[in-house]
Amino acid sequence: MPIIEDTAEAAAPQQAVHTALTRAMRRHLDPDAQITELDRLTGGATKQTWAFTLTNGAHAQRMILQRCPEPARQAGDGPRVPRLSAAEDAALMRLARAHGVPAPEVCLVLDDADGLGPGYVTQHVTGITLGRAVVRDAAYARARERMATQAGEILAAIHAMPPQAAPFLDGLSPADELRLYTRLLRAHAVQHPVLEYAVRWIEAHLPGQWQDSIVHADFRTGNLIVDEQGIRCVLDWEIARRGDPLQDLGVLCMRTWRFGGAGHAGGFGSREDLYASYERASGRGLDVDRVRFWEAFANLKWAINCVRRGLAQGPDGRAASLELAAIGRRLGEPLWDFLDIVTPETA
Amino acid sequence: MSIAIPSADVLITAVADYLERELAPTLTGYHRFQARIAVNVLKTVAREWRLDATQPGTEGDAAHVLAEQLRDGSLALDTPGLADTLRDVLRRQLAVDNPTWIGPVTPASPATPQPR
Repeated sequence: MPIIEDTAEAAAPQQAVHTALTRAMRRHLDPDAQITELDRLTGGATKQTWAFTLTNGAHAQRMILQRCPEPARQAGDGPRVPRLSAAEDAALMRLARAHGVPAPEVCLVLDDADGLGPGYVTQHVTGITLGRAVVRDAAYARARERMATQAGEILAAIHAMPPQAAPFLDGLSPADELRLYTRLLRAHAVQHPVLEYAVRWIEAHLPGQWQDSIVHADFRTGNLIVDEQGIRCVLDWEIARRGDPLQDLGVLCMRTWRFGGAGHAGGFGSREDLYASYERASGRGLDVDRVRFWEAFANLKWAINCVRRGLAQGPDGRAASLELAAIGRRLGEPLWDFLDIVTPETA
Repeated sequence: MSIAIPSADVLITAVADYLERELAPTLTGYHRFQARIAVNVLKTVAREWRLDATQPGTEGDAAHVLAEQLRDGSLALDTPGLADTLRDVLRRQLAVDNPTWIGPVTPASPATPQPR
């Protein structure tokens, strides 16, 4: 659902956002606030990210405006794709920070009167997120040496957060996750033997029990702000849920999100460092086979998302966008990785 | 043999080369990013055209049949040779969509991607 419904904003988005944001900041935070250096960081009509400088006299700070789409109304029964509202997303990040997890610091949550739709404003964090730069730029070589360890500690802290403090999170069992993703797949007329194999394999290996925890669900290179000291901030909390926490380690180790880096953990570090750090920080032994299960399942989910994006249509029945259509041709990659994880190569 | 010259893959590659060598370097930001996607898409289509032209076959039909047998449960997951067959399906698919995803085949080759 597009954010931009106002025709004035569509015509001059920069000015419209500047005006509305200034009004919002003065209303919520500081009647003398000025907004300068307003830059749009991301493209697209859905989730919009802007950076800006908030000044009052001599005091200036860099901040982020995040505008969020409403979660789509989903037809039918069965588990939903978790998608937090702006207010829930902000509440989860506040909870994370309260538990020592580096998440964006929320300054305010937008309301209807602000005229910007749902969203929130956070402190800006300096660093990069671009996957290829994180895994290979010389400037981050020292950071890469410690990032797997940091990731283990951060994930353990996320998984130690009390789920009851975030009652808005959907709980999804492994079986729920499979039901949900299979339903998404069956909405498309696709007959791919490796997809079918993978669905059956996951079904045959579903875990019966897990340590019910808060799960980020998209903890990976690309969603982490990194500087020369390592991981500074964890972004993109909006698909968080309750479930088996080891899926977060599985996602982090997916080859697709290594952006060409050699390290199995995020492209930046070793699996061993990640596992050892997570065990130390969580105070529990790590079920490595369970992590492999979730890594395989994460590959299946990404493959199903390649199908959905590759077949996404615009109102004219043509491909919704070049970028989405192109993602359809990445289907073979996670399916190859799935087979690598679950079957030894004998050829 | 087609009377059309040049062949479709040559035309597609010419478009890709124009975008990559001449147009993309003049662009920034969003359009530069989209132009790179366009180049990769065109190269994929050219590879698909060449593969279909040189190795026409019924791989697609066989894959559909295999998919149906897996979906309806008539084929067991541990059927001998199944994993190898699935890998062959993906090899052909990746040869078109992303030839760099799978490393050289020889296990002894130092360029082979690390084992999982």
